Amino acid sequence: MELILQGFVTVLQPGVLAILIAGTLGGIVIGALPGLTATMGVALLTPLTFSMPATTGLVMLCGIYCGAIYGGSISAILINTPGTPAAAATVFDGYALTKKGLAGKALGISAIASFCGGLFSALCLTFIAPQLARVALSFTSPEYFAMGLLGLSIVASISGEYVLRGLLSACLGLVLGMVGIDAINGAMRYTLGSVNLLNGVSFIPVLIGLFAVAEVLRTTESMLKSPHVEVNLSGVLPTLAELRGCARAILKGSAIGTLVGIVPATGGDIAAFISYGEAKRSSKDGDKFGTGVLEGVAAPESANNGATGGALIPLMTLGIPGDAVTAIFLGALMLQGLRPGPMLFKDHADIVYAVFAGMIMANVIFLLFGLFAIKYLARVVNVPKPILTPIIFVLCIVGSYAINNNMFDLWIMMLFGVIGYLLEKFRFPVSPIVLGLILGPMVESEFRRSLLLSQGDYSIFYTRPIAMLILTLTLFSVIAAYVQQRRRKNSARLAQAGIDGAS
Amino acid sequence: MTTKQGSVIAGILLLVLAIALWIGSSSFPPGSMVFPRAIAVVIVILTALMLVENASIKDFPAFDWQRFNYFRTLRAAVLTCIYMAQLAYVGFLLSTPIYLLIMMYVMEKGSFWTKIVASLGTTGAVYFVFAYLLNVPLPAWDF
Repeated sequence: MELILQGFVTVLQPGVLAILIAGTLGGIVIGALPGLTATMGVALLTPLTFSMPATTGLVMLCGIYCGAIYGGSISAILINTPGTPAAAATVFDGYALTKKGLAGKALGISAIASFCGGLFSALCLTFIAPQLARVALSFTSPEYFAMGLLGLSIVASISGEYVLRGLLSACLGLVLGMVGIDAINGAMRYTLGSVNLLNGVSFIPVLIGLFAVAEVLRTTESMLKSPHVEVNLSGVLPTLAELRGCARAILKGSAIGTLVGIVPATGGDIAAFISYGEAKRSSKDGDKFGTGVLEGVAAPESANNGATGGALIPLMTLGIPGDAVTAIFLGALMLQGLRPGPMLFKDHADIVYAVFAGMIMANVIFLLFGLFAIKYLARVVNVPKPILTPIIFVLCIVGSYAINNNMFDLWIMMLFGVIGYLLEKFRFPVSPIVLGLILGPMVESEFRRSLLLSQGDYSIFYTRPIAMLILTLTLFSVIAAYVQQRRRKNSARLAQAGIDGAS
Repeated sequence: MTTKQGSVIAGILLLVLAIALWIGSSSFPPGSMVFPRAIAVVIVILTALMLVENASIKDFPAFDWQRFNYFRTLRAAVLTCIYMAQLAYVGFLLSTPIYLLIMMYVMEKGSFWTKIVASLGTTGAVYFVFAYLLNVPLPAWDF
């Protein structure tokens, strides 16, 4: 308890609080702009945190993350376009409410539901993560190797219907992770004689390239004008009766979001759809969903923000990123010289609890913005793409340059921007590249350390119960993803056969 | 070009990468060469499986020339590369407003004054945040 209070004391210092407010506001703006995802926002703004102390930088990232997930609902409600994939389910009833002239009400419920979901998951993170970390304290190299493999096996799940392509993308990430000086024996690997590659391929330029540059390159393909929205919002604060009507959906959504968030390879978008489906099923007005009911906004919004804290649990306790955003978090932690996992709780408890307090405060801040400044924030959906797109290019360039003040990093960013753009065209998922790049060096070094410990005896991986258990889970994860892919293909084939038969 | 054709090209490039990994690892000490070689083998196996799978999956056009303007994407990429290449010599403050103005025109013709204000405002704001608030030096005039 003392540590949590200490975390709040840190976060409530004026300088840190100002940074958190700025991060949350930046996140809301990025989330509200269609086409700019939370992943892109966190990738784009991570370089701002390098020159800050670790706590301040990480707290800012918490603000960006929570703000962006909430911000996605603004454009979903106002212009029928989800600002982030996590807000896709909010469109159904959010935009229907706008058409009824109740945009203010929808935005108000969205802010409150997002806050409840986010707060619930941040509290779960605060109280569950330390217990999990305590269990993980007994881990040594074989267990870390197994955890790394488990993290990589997530690739099979996040690759959708293209599992093989996802695995190949992960291999590309693993190859990139091998570049530089070997951590075990100091050998230089694949540096191509360049001093810029001695420390490996810089992680952030790759990330900005894959998630931001590739995205803006896609944006340039079409400069369709978004409909201009007359932002005239009234009645943002819901009545007590309206809140009572949404309470069940919010409570269920918060729990669903947190649980789904904990499961690697899932995320806010999946949580939001599950929560929306559950709210529709259990509501007495279920048949009215889609026509503009407040519950239809409350359910997905509480779930997608509920996933934020949940997703940080495996990252903070085990060092395993479950998706692209948490992978960026992992990268940001490593750049600050911190390694997520049980030792982080032991050696840097002050930072860990400040992050937890930051997550809680970020939810409070976006609630205040969402209820009292939404009239002004909603205007960002009118920012024209032709003005915004070049500005994002400049932010990508400055962000990549800021890490090492090195022009080489800019070319890395551009190269991976083009690679990411082309890979998406040919249906290769790009998130696995990041997982491979981050987890590859960990998997390799822990594997080799394990063999050094056992003097070359491979039985060390299956005679240690926890390592064996995690490796079994890894195998199960890959098989489950493969079976799921086969099922999906069979369903698609049957559906196609049905269509052909009918015609 | 279709996704299938693109996958074949990607497959060939991946096989070249796997061969390069294997050959490149020959000069490494024994401990350092295991992982690269294992990855090379995995890449070859996965690429072969992908190419087999490629024959049975649905094909899509990778680029829809009717709906999208890929020349604009190409122009944006080339202009950005030129901007990056000169940044170390001309510096951030001088070259960024010009780059932004040109890019905004490449994206869409429209109000000159909006673009001027947006490009100068963005340059100033980014410079202020990075150079003053965060103490991150940005490239300066180098002549």
